[in-house]
Amino acid sequence: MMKEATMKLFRALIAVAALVLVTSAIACGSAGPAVEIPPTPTAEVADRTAGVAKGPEVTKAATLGGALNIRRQREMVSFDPHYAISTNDNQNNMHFYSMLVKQQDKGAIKPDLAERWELQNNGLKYTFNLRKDVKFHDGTALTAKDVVYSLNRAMGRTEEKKKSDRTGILDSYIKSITATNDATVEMELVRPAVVLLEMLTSGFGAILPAGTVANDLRSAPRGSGPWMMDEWVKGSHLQYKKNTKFYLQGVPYIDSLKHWMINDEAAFEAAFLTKKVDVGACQSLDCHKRTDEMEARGELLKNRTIGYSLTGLGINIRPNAKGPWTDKRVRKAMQLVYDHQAHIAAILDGKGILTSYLSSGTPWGRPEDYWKNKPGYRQPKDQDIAEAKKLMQEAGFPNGFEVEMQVRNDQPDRSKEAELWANQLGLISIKPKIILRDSADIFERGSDGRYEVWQHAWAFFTTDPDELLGIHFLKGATRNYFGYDRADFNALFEQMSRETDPKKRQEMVTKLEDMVSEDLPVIVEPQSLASTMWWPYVENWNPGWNAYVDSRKDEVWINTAKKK
Amino acid sequence: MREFLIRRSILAIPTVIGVTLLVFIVMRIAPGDVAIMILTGGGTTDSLDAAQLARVRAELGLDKPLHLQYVEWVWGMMRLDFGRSLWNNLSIWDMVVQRAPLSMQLSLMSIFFAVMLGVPVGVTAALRQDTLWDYVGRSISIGALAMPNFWLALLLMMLLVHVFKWSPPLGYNPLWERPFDNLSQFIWPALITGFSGSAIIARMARSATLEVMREDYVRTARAKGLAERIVVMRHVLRNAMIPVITIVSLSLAGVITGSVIMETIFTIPGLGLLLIDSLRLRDFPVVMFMVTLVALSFIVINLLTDVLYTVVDPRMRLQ
Repeated sequence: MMKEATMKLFRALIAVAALVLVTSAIACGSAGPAVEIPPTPTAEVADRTAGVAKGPEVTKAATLGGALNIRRQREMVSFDPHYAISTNDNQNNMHFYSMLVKQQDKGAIKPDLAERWELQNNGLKYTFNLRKDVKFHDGTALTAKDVVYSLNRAMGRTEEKKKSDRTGILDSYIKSITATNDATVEMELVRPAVVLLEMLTSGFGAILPAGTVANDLRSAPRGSGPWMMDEWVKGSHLQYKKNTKFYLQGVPYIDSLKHWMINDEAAFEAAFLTKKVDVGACQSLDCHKRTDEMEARGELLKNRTIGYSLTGLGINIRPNAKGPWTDKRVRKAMQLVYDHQAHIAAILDGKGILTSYLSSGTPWGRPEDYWKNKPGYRQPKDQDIAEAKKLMQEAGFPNGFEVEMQVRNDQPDRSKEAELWANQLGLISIKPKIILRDSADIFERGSDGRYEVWQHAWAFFTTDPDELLGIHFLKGATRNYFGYDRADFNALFEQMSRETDPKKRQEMVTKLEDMVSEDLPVIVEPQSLASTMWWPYVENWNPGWNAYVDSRKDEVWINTAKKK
Repeated sequence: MREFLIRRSILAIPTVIGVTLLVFIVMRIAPGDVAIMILTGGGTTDSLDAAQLARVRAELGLDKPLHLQYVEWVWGMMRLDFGRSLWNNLSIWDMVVQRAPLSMQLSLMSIFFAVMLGVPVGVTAALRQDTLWDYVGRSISIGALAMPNFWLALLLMMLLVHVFKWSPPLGYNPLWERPFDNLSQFIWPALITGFSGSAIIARMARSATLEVMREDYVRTARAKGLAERIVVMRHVLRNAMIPVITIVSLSLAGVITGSVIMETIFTIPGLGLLLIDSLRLRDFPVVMFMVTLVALSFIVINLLTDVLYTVVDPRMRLQ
């Protein structure tokens, strides 16, 4: 009897436990809330990203010392500021090195190693007057010869004969650099270049001791910046200590920066929410949602930055390219049919904005609202799709065609975008065949023109239209993968590149963008909004608008009164 | 015994060769290129110079024929030169030596908890067969088997963070340098892994105990008037633990492979994370060394287990 009663009780307990487990599994395994298309953040974007000279007001530290904990996802590979290509290395290297000039958060370009500079000879000569009190971390004095060596190295003009991937382009602007004395550097230009100073703010323009070669930088940096390497435990953390002999008085305000290697999103979220990490960025939708709510309650701070990149479908329109896509009407049809809002919802998890070749809301780009009702961007898509079908008919392809779409095989986002394209182009009977290719192969084909269309994202490292428009669309430019060649564009570009009046230059830039929009060598997709978040006790946190021009954090301080 | 050991050692060689060859081939076939990873820092880039890529490949020796690359690697291993990471040029041996203690600690703590929970639950369930003790014990085992340990880990993290506003310490905290941080970091993944591991141990202990309890010598021991406690401790347990030893030793061999998820979630920079990062970055030398290490550890521990059997069970000596 007892045994039967026990059996019954046991069966009842099992049934309850199974019900709880199944219910929990369903709840936890569910896909999460349905994706909604959120309203595009226009005012928010404009407030936080517009303007050339805006930046956070830097306040002087009220308390000194402490450590700032930051998340990193990848180990450093190279301390070579000129030849390290990866964003990760560049961001790390910014802490150790100084540049001639600096720029943070789209603010004005400010002195760094150069106390002041003059532009003479109708914009053909820069004279930089250097600080006299600068020392490298090993105690040796930094003089003009180090600046000359470093910039020549970046341009591939030293014995190593290797151009920096980014500042190598300086080679096309700079005729010569000379040290007239220990504290003066003269730079003769081939032609006036408004973009030059901005290029020098990048970590790729870092100053090394003269004679430094790649092997010298394998295991440690050789810089003069605000931070020095303190500890590096592979797989665990990188710790930097402040350079107490830094030439800018009083900074850095904090004693150390600790970069924690945290790959897993759940682990990062746990560390951030318990304040083991002071600064970071969310990847998952849940994390974004949770931290957005915290921001709304005033518990933490967030900054949203529009990416400076060109994400879209590149089209091979070289003279020898064959295929329906070489017809402008077909490209226009493809552009009309693409649903930007669907892209923002599906690919960017709602964190994106409508844009064109110059990112919306950035100094040279138009505001996002400008695009909302334009063909290709407007909602609903019925009118655009009807017009697209009409264009395809006129071009002689009412039944569509097949096209090869190349995509990098190591970037999941590009594959997702390609699939969305396939879905959208199907509306006008275009059938893309998605081909995943190795990076090296894809860029070789891009350079040689051995492709049909190419789904990709091309990043920039300056905010200047010389790069934003020139690098991809100027005839013969290093990354003009599309074979774009328009005579009036080339002519106007040359004028724009030399124009020093901002208003006139803006007009030219807008005209150039319109020309490219007319020809569509690339069909642009929405731009992502990256967000960084930090706790309120982190003062003067300056996330940097661009991965290559990241903040050095020398003016960040920990407000101990706010840190509980 | 000597012949047995020699025979087993000789048999291990083709196993290790086969495993390394398979990994070598698979790593080369898999998409992705370590040279590209190095040039791009494992992240994204929008431009890559073919000449630069060719230079990096030549520096890494990746431009040589595949069979030569394999032979060079094998020759290096035989000379105990385990090579360097293609990614950061660090000595592989140094990387492994730095991280191994963390993975070993996690594994040992997990096994400790698994045994401490699994054996008593399994034995008690067997001794109290068809009672509430048995049903509860079996339910715990099924629950532990059914619930994936990564899910438990994430649930636990959520509980710790949102209810207790606490998360484990980050990074590298060796036991001898920062014991409190170390134990705070390790206790949770060890408990979770131990809980998952205890399920199989409990099931195995229960069935082995039930089987042994039906043996004639146990009946004889009871008939002789021995106290039940002595019958269980001296006669039943020793024989019932033989299959449990197998499971525990295999768990030890899985130090590397078993710790990946826990190390990722609890940010413990151990061998599991090293393996997963190396796979992601196509760092062939590290992956091949780690796989060889795993294969060797399984072989050695299996061998030791067989030897241990002869200690625990005299009948095995005769066989």
